[in-house]
Amino acid sequence: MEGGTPPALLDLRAVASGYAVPLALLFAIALFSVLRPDTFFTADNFRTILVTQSVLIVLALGVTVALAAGEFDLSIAALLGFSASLVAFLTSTHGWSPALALLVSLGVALAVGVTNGVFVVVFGVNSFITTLGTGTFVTGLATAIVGATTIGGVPAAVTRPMREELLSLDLPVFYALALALVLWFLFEHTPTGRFLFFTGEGREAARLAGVRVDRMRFGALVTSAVFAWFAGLILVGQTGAANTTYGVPFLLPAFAAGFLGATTIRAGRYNVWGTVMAVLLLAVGTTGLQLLGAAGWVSDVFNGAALVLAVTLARIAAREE
Amino acid sequence: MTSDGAPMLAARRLSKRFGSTRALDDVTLEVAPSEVHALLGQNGSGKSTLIKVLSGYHAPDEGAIDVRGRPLPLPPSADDARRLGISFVHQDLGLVDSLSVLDNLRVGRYETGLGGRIRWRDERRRARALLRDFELALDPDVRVGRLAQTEKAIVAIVRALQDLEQWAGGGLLVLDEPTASLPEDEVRRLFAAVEHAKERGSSVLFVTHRLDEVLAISDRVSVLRDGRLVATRPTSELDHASLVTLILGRELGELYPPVEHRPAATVLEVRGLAGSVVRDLSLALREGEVLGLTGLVGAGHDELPYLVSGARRAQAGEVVLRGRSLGLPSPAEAAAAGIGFLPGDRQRLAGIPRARVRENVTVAGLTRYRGRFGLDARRERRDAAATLERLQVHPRDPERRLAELSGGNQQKALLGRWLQVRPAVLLLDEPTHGVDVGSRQAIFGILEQAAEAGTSILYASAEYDDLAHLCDRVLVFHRGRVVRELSGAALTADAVAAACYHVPDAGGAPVDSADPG
Repeated sequence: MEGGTPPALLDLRAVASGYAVPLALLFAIALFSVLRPDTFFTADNFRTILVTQSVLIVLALGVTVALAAGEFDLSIAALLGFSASLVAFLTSTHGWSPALALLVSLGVALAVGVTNGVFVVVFGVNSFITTLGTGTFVTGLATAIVGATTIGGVPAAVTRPMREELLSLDLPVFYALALALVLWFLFEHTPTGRFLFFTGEGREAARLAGVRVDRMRFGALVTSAVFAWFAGLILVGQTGAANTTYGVPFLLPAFAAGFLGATTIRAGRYNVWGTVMAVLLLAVGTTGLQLLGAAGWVSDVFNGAALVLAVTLARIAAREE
Repeated sequence: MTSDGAPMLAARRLSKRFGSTRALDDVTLEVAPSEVHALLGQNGSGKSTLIKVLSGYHAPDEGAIDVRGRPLPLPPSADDARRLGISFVHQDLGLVDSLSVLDNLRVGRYETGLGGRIRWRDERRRARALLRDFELALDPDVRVGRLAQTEKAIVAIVRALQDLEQWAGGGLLVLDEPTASLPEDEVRRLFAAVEHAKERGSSVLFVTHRLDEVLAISDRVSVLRDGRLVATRPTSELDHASLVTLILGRELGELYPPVEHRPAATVLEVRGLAGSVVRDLSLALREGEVLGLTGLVGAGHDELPYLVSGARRAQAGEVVLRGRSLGLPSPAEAAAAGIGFLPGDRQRLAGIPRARVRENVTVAGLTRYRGRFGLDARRERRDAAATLERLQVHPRDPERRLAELSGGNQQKALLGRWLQVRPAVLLLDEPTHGVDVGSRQAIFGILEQAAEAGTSILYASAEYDDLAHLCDRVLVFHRGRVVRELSGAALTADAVAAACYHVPDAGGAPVDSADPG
């Protein structure tokens, strides 16, 4: 956040729209706490939300990097499923050492990211289409290798780093936080972050200003793949089992969080804390509704509506400028 | 039908104002049956307004237009024009590259048989015959995107002509600079198509900047200047010099004393550069020199900054900066070597409207603000503020979004982007377009200062007054080549204009590589 604009700080509407997501988050927490003080407003519930959302936070951060560069990466959900199930398959079914399984799955993720980069940047294919294709391809390939069943019995060496606690919070919460901090620094405090923003905002103008836009886009697609891989590791560690389709339910909320995040904190830009807040808002919303007695389908309804609403809000904000 | 004596087109006493400017002032113009009638005039003379009145884009304030003696409703709808037999080919040709020649020719006009089925075989046969008439041996199924530019122009003309077919006596074909982007040797084929249209009984109203074309193809010439029709004459009575006099409204005196060369080190050399219009172009830019590049639409002068900066890929050539070859650099390589480029399309290609002014100003030299803990925000802000101060950008606030500034202030800020890194060379394309008068003066001041500080500037523009005012030297382009060089006392707005219109015997300093004949 930049400090140098007093007029903007006095503009209440700008403040309200810039901080809509954190305000909504506070409001949702307050509302559900009043309605369900015994089940919602408990340390356990907040802990559960943070721990279960760490996978989505990591995945959504990866999406945010790609979006910042002006590209869609729809292959992340497939990659999440592949990396989780591949690690389970190699360590549990084949007894490989966790370190080796980890490296192999990282290699797969890098290969997918580079493939996306080659098609999108080198051949100039639309990233939406490309990653829709590579994502489907990866899921198919994963099922061919790993099989369609859920693989359990993942060794402790894989699950422990994802289940150990620090300050009574599971470690993945801290991994997600650390990644967010690193990305925040990159976005806000390095030339690379500024170049990424310029690339996403106006690729040709950025190129003519001397920005190496192809490098930015390629790098962004590889980064989102690596984040998806790591989200997969967290997931298989937390659940102790995996299946190639485990990533599917994460795709939409990850994009919803990225878009919703861009309407807040640094309105008009994809930004790290906006994305993190948006993930938490979606989680609090669905959890609260479920505690009020709504059925499981409410999360789909809530996330879907949030995605469309977020994009609409961003559109309106852009028009008002 | 109408009486035989009626002109194909009769525009009577047309006037059109935009605010306080008279774009058309009491213009009366007739095009005879089976005549090729050229329409000439400088930028802003009213040519395009007249065409836009004909095509229904503008409604005239006063006046009337008859076609073959019948009144044309004003402004005419596309249907009115078609009904009365007027057809247009605009500069962009209006073809769809991804569709076939047949589709481009026939879409919306397909002959259908039972159940609305298109009779493809008949359509194809007819298209092939039509193209053969115009000496185009084209497969109707080939995609238009794969055609040469001239072939595209002819396809556009063929398409326009078939709307006139129903008129046994032919109709009026309006060609609005369809040759602007064609190389010289290709234009002949287009002329043949125009001749053919004339033989079929159509009249042609031909808008162009190129005097040699006018002399080659037209029967009569009308010249507009400042919205008024200054003359309509048979082409046989005219030559290059008299046409230029009509267009400029002045006699041309002795305009070209010899070029004076200032002794200074060469900073930038361009060798053998070729693009889509520019061919085998070489030039040298000296330290602190402002070198103007100009020509008529499609002459190629405005392509040069894009080729040198790598914004567009050149087909051949080499860029040498201070004796070191950069080959054909990418924009990032050019920028790193000290070549800055500000494209003409400010909204789309130069600025990032939603980014802050500061971010737009510092992007070219951003890596210099790397500190121990990431970007040194304080130093970045201070430098951006200093640049806005120095270039008198209003408002002075570096944290505004670029889009919040007026066009002139955006342009000053974007110039600041490059001046802040003290480039060896600055490449500019029409930097004063869409800029108010005050900012224009300020931009000239900024560029003069930069040149004095040692930055060399390539300045592509079609504003002859600006060029004469600002440049040390001006290169005049014609069909991708430099045909004349002006400097010193010879560098006046009139001289630049005359050279653009390519007066063959104007003397002075023709460049040997080009043969103006």
